[in-house]
Amino acid sequence: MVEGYLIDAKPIRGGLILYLNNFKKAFVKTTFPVYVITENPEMVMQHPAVVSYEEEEWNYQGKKRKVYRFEVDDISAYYYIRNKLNVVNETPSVLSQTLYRLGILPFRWVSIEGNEIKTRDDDFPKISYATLIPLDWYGEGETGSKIKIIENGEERVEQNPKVKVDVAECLGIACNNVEAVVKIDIKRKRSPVSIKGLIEWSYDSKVLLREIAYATIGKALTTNEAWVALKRKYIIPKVVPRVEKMRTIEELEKADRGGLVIFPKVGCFNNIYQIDFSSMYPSLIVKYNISAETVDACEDLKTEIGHSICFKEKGIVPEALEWLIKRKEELKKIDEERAEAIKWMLVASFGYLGFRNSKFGKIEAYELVTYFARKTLRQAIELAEEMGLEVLHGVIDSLSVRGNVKDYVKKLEEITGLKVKVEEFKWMIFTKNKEGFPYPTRYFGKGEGMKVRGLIRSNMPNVVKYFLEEVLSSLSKANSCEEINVKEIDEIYKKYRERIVRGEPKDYVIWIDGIPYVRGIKGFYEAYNGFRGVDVFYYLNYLERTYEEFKGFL
Amino acid sequence: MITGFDEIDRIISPDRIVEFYSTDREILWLFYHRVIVLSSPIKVVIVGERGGIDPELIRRFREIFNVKGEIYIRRAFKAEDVKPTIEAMNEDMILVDPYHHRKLYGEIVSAIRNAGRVFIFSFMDREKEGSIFGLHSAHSLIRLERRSNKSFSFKIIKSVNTDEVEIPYSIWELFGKSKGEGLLTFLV
Amino acid sequence: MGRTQPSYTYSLQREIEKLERILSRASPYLLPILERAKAKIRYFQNASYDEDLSPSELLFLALLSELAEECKNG
Repeated sequence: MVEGYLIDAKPIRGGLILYLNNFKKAFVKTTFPVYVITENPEMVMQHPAVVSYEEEEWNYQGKKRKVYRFEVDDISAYYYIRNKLNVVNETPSVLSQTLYRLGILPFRWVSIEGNEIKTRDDDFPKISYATLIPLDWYGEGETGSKIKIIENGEERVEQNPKVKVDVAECLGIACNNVEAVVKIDIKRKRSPVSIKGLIEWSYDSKVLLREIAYATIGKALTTNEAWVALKRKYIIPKVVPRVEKMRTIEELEKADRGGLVIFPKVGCFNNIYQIDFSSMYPSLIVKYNISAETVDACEDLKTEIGHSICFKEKGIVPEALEWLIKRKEELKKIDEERAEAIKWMLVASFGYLGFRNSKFGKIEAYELVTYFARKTLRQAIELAEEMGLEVLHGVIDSLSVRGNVKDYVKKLEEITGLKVKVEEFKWMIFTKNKEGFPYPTRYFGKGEGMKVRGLIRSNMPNVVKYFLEEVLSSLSKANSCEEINVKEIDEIYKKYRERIVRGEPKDYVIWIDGIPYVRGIKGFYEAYNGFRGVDVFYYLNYLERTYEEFKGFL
Repeated sequence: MITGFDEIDRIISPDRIVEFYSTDREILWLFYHRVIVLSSPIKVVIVGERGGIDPELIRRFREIFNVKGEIYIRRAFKAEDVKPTIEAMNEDMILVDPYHHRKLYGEIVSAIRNAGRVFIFSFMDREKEGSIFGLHSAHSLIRLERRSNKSFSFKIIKSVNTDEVEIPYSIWELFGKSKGEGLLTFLV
Repeated sequence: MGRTQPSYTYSLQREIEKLERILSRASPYLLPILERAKAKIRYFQNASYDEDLSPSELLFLALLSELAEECKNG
């Protein structure tokens, strides 16, 4: 008998090898399902690995279609068949569907005894996981004399560690310092999610960590949506060609827009409340049942932009998102990192509706979401003004107001049907750009902590980032605009000017597109080859410009 | 469907599939907005992930030419959408950058052949990209080239009834202004 | 930000630049008025977001409003 949490699985002839935590292994006998649309199933049966087939009735865009499900005992047959015939239902992968059929899910507890399979659903697997990143003089990189290790949430730095865990993510040479059932190369990751977050993705999406480790957020999302479609026996093709509704240019103009942006009044304001719609776009998708197959399917709800929505059946995307929204709320109470992983999927869900390769979205659905978002924010602004609040700023799914918010928030939730979060700020500064126009996406203020948006850019030199962080720290002592100590900012500026003249090499590093540079006397050079001197004046100028710009905000 | 340049319209009048191409994005962009307005009412397919038409520029051409015809639009974001979108439009149409994705050439060309009269506008360097992408299916092939800051030309590359010829115009003629109107030359 | 059409702010910027070029040749004394109108333009944008106002119409609205205010203040 072997038991443990499922970390990975590998298909072999006749079945699957399961890799459990603590490097345990088990074998399960199974065939693999391959769905094909064909007029000639007997031809497929000729492949030696094809064991049997079943004729099934599936749905595609409102019509019934005949689909054959072939059972193969070697996954190579699947690859062979897909090259020659119209294979569908490949998301979630054939491997994932096989596991699901057996009741064995990634990161769930499974016990195998002969042919008997028992499973159990713990909330989160009790496994070990680690992140390993080399530290070089310029910061985190693919090489370095020391390795930063975050093992099961605890961080340490070691010279030549030997780590053994169930699941690991590693960068560069640090991958030589770890042994794991599944090892993920950080360089190949296409999502901003930590290893713990990826475990959460794997757990929720019911696909192996190995299959989702290098996925984009969109792919993770599609997988979740695909399970809903599969359950309803909707065919999931490789590509969904779409023809959009024909419209006049005027009609297109009205619908082809983004979120509502209210340009702020510029300057510092005391006693601000920021009203945030929680997961606005996903909540709108759920509330209005917006999905490729529900939009324009019937006219239960007509809108001004020419699209209508059908409520007769719950849409695939709303069903998937409703579950994810609930999951995020639950996780927020117990684990921030896991909740963050779900948040990424929710954040991407709207954009994905309009993505050209989206299987369950289409442009009309995308336009409906932005339409309702604009309408909702507009409602929020009008209600605030009606109730005597001053509206200072609004960007897509949040607005900043001054006045008595308690009754406002209650009424707002009532009329919009959406949940709202309120954060109180002692003061907030809205900025303008170089041309003097109000800049809605750069602001900062003191709430429970400092909230900063658009101020610290990732491609600023380290020393300038440290300067801004210290300035913000000084600002956080003020409890009103008037209390902001401008003189202290001047002092900090002087301090950093001196620091630039005799700083540490790491101060001068600038990260551009994931590559660390330093500005030397002869121009920019990559930090990989070591510190080779610095053009101090470049950094002094950069600091000066940043300081002047910042002073302009106050 | 017309360009509004008499010489060009005369040359292409017997042709069903006409392709205008250029490596100068700005010239081609201005030109097809003009053609769309002058050809309206008209159906337009815009191929590509983003962009493709500026309603403000359309408004401007509508004012200049005093034309109010409807413009019907469908967008095809990915290569697989192009063929079914062309088929759904049926009849005469303007195609903006149908070979944008540089793939599925066969099915796209076949859809174009089965449509009505088609004007194609391609952002393409046909000299570099060679003879694929429908070169042989267009009845006339015309290249737009910028000659200077203020002028451009149509180069008839392939035509049933005309040899290779180059016809120059000034850029403000795109905006419908005839030669020598004094102060108006400043307004571009 | 639309998928197909340029953003309103972008189109508005093009109109502003065009008007600046014309004014600098035809009536440069109007340039400071345009400059002051620019400061208000974003707030007109705010007010007209859901309406059918083209960028050039919005620009002239801002200009008119600035001129009106100057007249009022003598």
